[in-house]
Amino acid sequence: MRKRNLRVFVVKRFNKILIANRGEIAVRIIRACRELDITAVAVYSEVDKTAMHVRESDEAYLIGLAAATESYLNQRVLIETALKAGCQAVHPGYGFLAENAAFAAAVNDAGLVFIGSSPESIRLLGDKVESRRTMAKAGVPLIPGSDLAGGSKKFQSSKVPKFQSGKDGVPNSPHQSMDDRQECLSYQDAADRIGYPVLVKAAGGGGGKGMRVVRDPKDLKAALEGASREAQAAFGNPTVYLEKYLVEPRHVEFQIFGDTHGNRVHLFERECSIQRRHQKIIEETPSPALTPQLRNTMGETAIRVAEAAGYYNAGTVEFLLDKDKNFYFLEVNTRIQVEHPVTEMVLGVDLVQEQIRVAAGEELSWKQSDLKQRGHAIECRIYAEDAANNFLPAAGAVLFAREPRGPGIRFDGGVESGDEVSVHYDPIIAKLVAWASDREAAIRRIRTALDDTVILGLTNNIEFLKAALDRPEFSAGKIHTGFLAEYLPSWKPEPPTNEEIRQLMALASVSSERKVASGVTTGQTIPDPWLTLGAWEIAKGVEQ
Amino acid sequence: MKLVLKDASGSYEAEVKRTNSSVIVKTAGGSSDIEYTARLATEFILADTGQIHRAYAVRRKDDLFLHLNGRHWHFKDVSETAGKAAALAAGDGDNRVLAPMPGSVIKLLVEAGAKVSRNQPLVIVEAMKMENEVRAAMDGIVAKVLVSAGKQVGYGELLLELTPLEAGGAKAG
Repeated sequence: MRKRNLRVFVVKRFNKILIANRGEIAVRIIRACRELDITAVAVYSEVDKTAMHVRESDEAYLIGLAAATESYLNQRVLIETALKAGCQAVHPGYGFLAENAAFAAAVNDAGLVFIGSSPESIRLLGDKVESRRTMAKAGVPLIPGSDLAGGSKKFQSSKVPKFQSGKDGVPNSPHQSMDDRQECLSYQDAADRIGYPVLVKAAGGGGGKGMRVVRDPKDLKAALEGASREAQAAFGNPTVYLEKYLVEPRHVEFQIFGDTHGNRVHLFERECSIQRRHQKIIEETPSPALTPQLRNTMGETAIRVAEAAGYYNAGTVEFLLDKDKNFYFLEVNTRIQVEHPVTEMVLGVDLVQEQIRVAAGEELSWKQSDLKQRGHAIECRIYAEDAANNFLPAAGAVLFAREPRGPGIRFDGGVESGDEVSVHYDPIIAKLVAWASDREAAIRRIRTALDDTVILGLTNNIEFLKAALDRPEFSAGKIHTGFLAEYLPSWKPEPPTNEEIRQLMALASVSSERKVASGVTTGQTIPDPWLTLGAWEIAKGVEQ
Repeated sequence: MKLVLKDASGSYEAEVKRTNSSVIVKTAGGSSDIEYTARLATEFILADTGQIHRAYAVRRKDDLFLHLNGRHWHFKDVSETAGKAAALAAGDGDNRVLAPMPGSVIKLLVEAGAKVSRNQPLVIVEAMKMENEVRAAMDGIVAKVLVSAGKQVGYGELLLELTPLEAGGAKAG
């Protein structure tokens, strides 16, 4: 154990934090804890026993089965584990319980500190319908939607299996009396009022889960059902609502930060327009679309959003920016964001450490005037997925991985050689981030770094990311949320040239004598004595 | 030694002769004498008439994962089974509906006996919280349903079987 007592004065309230997450974000939080001399406590499901976040942690505890509902979403076990381990705070990361107000409240009620905002603001902003009402009152520009078009009812498919509790901690009552068809009709009314195309969105979360675009009224019912099921599975809340679908908008979000003393700042924008299946894969800052004046206006609006919700700690205010540079409030993500590293690189800050400090009751480290954008940063999300086949997740073992290196390169990974990307969780492998003095240099830098990234053993999206960056429209900054669908609609990797085939054949022929990387669980070369022993029992009769 | 590698872009054949330090590769498009040095179990340096190529390779059963000059490749090594595989592929109709990935069946959209048309969604399979529709690759009748909602399925697992509808066939109408 490290005992440096280097920064004990900084976060004197915490010396041990439980990280209620896994993968790259858990590793990122552990790193922040180390630098603050805080003991990092990891939790893991049965399949994550040797996962990277466990290896990187100081202490780790088993919390249940592979299915997230039986482990990373099990609030009771997480809180019990934190108390037993002697933690003072819980960091939820992103996904899982990060935007769950009931969990935040339960953590606080247990005498621990939830590293995030108050349960009240999380609840308000987590309900996309309620938050739109609040923002309308605060004079924040909104996209026309079902709640404002008069149809305030929320669609909840009764076919969806009910969880024990909803996002706000209130059990979801079964809708015995509510007929799906009738409910759907009120949605058709709302959609007609808004005008097609409409977007079906989950009231309980973001990240592209539970989202459908409907261009034709006859597809509405199926979209409502599908989105509702997906929302239930992802967020434990099947409620969905409708919104006007803007054509070729940009996704521009603002990082906000507040403390418990009433100070609030924004940390400028991130442009996240490069999306597949409504999920971001390339993010950058600054946005090539913003003028200094528009940046100021949007930043001030973002702070107003935070104020209206009484929000503190790290959050992200998402806007859509249309072709005429009108911006509309989309939602607030009440957590650290996947793409937070680009903001850290350009502003020279550590958002995760700041989250911990603010949760410990300290004042913000920066005033608005301290924050200046310097240079340009781009992030690429490396996923285990088949970009040539509808971006289907491609779980498997990482048999060999090599991280890119070089000036201005940052690699936030959650798996290393020998790790599995499991079907049970998000298929993200790593985030590659490049910083350079300007956008053009940053593009060249991340493009080179992608060439230097080696991930063997499963299908990944690296070649697709390169294809996106190589589009002249990307270099020109002419991007919008439909970019990939427009420019790379049915992307396939280039077939090999004759010369390449011969080199690949040579490589294949020499590789055959060395089966797999050593120490990999899926390796076939070395017989494992534990496997060849046959069936036998350990500690028979011990209580399960 | 004959090598046959397959990926989504096609099937590639070569006659390969390996010595301690080099590989002679002959394909229909030409021939190369490539020097190689194995640095680590997975890392190689290839030298092809003076040009240096940094390369990585991992094999798992028939799956070959390669990285050459900054680019990822994933081939199936079908060298030994090339003959067999070719025969199989030819007889392999589009009537089998297979799981496109490991995951769980969320919803069945058709029942046995249903008439389906090409591209019609048949089953919804979920993995990593994303739903994916599995569609019919042909017009046909659902002959067999092998899964039910909630079932975990592996990659390539048989979900449904279709009986093809012959265009303009006697059975129509």
